[in-house]
Amino acid sequence: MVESIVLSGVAIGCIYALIAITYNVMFSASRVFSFTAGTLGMLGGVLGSLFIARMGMPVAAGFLLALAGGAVLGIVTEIVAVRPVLKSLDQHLYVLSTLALALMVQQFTAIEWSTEPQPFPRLFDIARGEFDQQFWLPMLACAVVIVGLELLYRHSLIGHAFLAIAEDSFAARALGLPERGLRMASFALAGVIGALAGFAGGEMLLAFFANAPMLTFYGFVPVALGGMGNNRGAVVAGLLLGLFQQSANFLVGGIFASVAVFTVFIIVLLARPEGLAGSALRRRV
Amino acid sequence: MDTQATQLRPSRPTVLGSVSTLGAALPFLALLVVGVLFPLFGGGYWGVIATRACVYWVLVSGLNLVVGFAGQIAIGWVALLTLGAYTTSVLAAGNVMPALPPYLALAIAAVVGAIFGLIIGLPALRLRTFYFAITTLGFATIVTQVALAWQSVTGGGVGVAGPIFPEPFASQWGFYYFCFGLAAICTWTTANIAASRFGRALTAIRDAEVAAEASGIAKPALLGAVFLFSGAVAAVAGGLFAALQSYITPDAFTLDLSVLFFIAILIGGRGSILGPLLGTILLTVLPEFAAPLVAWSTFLYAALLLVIVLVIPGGIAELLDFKNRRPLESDRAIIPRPDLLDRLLGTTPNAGALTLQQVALSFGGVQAIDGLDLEIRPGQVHGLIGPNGSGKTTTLNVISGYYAPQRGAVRLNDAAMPVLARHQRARMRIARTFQTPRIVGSASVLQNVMIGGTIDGEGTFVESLLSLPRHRRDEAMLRDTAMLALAAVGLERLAQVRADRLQHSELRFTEIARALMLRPAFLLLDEPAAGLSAEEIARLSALLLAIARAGTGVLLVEHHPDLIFDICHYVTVLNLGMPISEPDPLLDVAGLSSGYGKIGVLRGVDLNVGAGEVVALLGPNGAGKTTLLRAVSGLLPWSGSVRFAGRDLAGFSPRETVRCGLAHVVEGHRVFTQLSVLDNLLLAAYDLPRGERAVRVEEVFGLFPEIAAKRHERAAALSGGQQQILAVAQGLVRRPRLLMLDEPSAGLSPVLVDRVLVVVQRLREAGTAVLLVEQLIEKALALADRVYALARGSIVLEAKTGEADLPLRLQHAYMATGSFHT
Repeated sequence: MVESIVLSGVAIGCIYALIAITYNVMFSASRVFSFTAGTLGMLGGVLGSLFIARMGMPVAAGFLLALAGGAVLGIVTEIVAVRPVLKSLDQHLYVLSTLALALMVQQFTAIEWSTEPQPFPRLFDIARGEFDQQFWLPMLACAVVIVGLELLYRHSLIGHAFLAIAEDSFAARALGLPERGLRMASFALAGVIGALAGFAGGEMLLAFFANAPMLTFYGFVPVALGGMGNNRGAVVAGLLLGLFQQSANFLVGGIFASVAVFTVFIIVLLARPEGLAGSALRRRV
Repeated sequence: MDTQATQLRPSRPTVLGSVSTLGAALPFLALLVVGVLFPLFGGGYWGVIATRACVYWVLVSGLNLVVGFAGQIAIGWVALLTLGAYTTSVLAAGNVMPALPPYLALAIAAVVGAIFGLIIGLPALRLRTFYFAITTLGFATIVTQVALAWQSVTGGGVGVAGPIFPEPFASQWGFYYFCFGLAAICTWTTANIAASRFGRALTAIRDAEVAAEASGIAKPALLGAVFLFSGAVAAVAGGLFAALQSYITPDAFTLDLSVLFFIAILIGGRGSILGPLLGTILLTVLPEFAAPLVAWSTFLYAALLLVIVLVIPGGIAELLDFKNRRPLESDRAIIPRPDLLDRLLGTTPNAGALTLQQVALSFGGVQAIDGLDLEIRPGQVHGLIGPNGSGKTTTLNVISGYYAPQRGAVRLNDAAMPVLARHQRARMRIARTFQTPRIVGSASVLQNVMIGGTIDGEGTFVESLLSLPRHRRDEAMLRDTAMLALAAVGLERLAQVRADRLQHSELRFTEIARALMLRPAFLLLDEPAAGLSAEEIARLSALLLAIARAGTGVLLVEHHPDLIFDICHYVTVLNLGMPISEPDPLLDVAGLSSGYGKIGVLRGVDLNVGAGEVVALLGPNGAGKTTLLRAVSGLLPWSGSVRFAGRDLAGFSPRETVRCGLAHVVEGHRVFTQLSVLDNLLLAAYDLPRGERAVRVEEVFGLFPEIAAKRHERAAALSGGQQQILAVAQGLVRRPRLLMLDEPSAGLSPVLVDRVLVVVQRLREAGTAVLLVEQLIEKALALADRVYALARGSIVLEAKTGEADLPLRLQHAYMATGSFHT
């Protein structure tokens, strides 16, 4: 019993952590939180099911196409919902534009794909065991993304450029860095990460359009608790969230589990609005 | 004097209470008539739609105050609809206790809704926008899940029957009139709030929060009242919804419904009542026109929201705002009437002095203020000057309660002032203006000024809700005082104009009018002359002197030497230590004008730099030196002519100017602290081919051995001076022909300053041209071949550095009002 709680908790925690990283990557590039992070996760599962189960493509092809779909939505988010709003004086408009875009994609999926959860194909032809692929796939995806991002940010020029834009986009632009192209690349990367989360978690979450609002919320909790833009904090918070949620699920049942998660979230945020690991707010006047 | 007096006649209360002109009331009256007569021409099906629109509007009218006026992004408000629906239904059906009459059930639901509205809304006081939006979404999900799970009470997935209202409201049209009546009441009450000091205070919190605090508006109390009201009406709407549906299940309360409410407000336009009302009607009716639209309705709403946000952020209200489409006269002059100040400020009882004693404050490692003594006496104008970063605005912020001093005391009349109680300063009659005007752009100038007098109103929120006499008295009083204040600063002709149509200088005077509403004992002004023309500065001087003569103590933080020396009785100088005191050019700037949005900074600058020359650009703060460098390198739009190495730089981005050989090292030694020194330099070589990058980086390391030794350390570990050297090194990686340096010595100790300026010497020896913006006049003169002085946006002096009397001529140039060429 404990093993299965831990397994499912870590697995779902990895999915939440990946969505949190999606939020963070988009935030680093633009200082904007986008509602489309959860939608990207949903799309990863839906596209995977569409290409592999419904259209019969080989797993690898379906995987790459699902990731490509995520990248496309990421770029569309940047062009349509983020870039026009960054120029305007009312910075809070981004909440509305990304919300609108996320809703449009979710509704389209609900109508064109299905309003009911659809099965997600089995990716590897291994028999179901205790340490099943539905658990270790998300963990593998999370590990790959963490290592990959670390390599990207620390050891490649374009990764340094991402960090530079995140820290001081004005100085980066003055130095001659192509700010707009780098921002689009960041959003495409975020799209890939989000889609990967949904694809890897497909068997656990199924291909369901309503995963989007669920992931939007549960994927944001690690961001809020771990500090904006802080990927390491997000991963730790995501795993803890997953474990907490699964424990609560088994011990007190689904409804109270979500109430419990939400209450903890609110309490932590009210006590420390910048998150457990975040930095204090800047000067306003 | 007589004609002016007639212009300032008091406003008369009108029949409808708070709606001030018949024109504004007309659309509402029209809707009222249509609504009352609707059953005569609408069929049964449309009756249901109309009732539903009324029910939705009951909720949206309250949510409008939260979202449209207070600017809180409460997306999950459907939670309260659900709560109200279930509470009313359960109490009326008798699942838990003996069945209650439906009206009582509805009333109890309203109370429950108010309490939960407060609970859901309170996080808004602590959380940022996106975080708050997510928490409301969370609440919505939780409430629906509880409804699903609590089967004994709510019937779980099976649901529960809605309440049935007794005759005469039981029939379809009877119920329609019931809902319509409630909708009309909601429209009236929220319109009253919108036109009250509470409504204006909400918009101030939304758009100009620091100005709201400075005007004494307490955010928690006001938002609390709004959440209570909004929660209550949302729950009432829930009860009505349950009665309309006659049977409710949890899946009737989808996120789509929440989104509909939210979008209706945004389509309608924030800060308006009519707009969201039309928006609600539109969104309720739209899916009914075509059957396939019903399935796609949420998609359409979202698409509509996206279009509105991108294209007309002001929504329907902006489209209907015909008044503000009329063009304004182009040559407007601001002519203050200081003679009106006595009437406005009245007899201010002598409040004693405002003193700062040995105040010190540091942020992290930076000492912002170090042992400051300051005394502001009533009736005197006290100037506070100093270079950028010397702590002038921080001092002002300490006095107005944004920061607590770490040492020392701030006293008013020998009593210590409470620290960090920003919104109490208004009650102490300490008013201030801000470095950039904090204005509610979508409100009129008059409304903006009335915000300044919010704390003078006596009526409560409930009295405003019901437009009781005390509310109307408050409104008349505030309007008259605001018109007087506007007349005193010279803007009364623009009273009804929407504030974002005003010029920058007019906004500054608007802020002063708003501050005067408090009848301040002390007025703190943060760089009020920035962006003003010479005549406007003269009028501002006269106005400030008159304010002081009326008994107010004025603290003036400024750069403009004329303003300071003309009108200040006392001057405190912070951070004293600023002595005051070819061939074809490589860079040829002619007639350059540039600025930031509406604020024009540079006016027709002519300047050139020859190949291999070091040119110093000097001038007082605010003259436009940094703006000039940013325009040349392409960070700002400009007009005029800029030619570099024979090429026209019009339309060039910073990336393209770097490629041409023009490097710009921005002020503040901004390097990328998370990356190593080596990586910082590699980034500067981003556009170069890979093999070339390493070569250039080594080249630059050769020039600057002190940072070569630290090549693998993170830039955060370097000292300020080393970071500055690194920033210059970044500029040199591309082997520029001209390097523009913006205040490389700023914030550095004298030893480090010399180290950094030695670099400039080396560059000159190597043949790189340098355009050096500096505050340290002597050091700059020692290095440069030629010098320009820039003051108030244009060149006032150009000379070779060897010339006689140069320091004296520079001093004159800084103080002069016009050009001073030799």
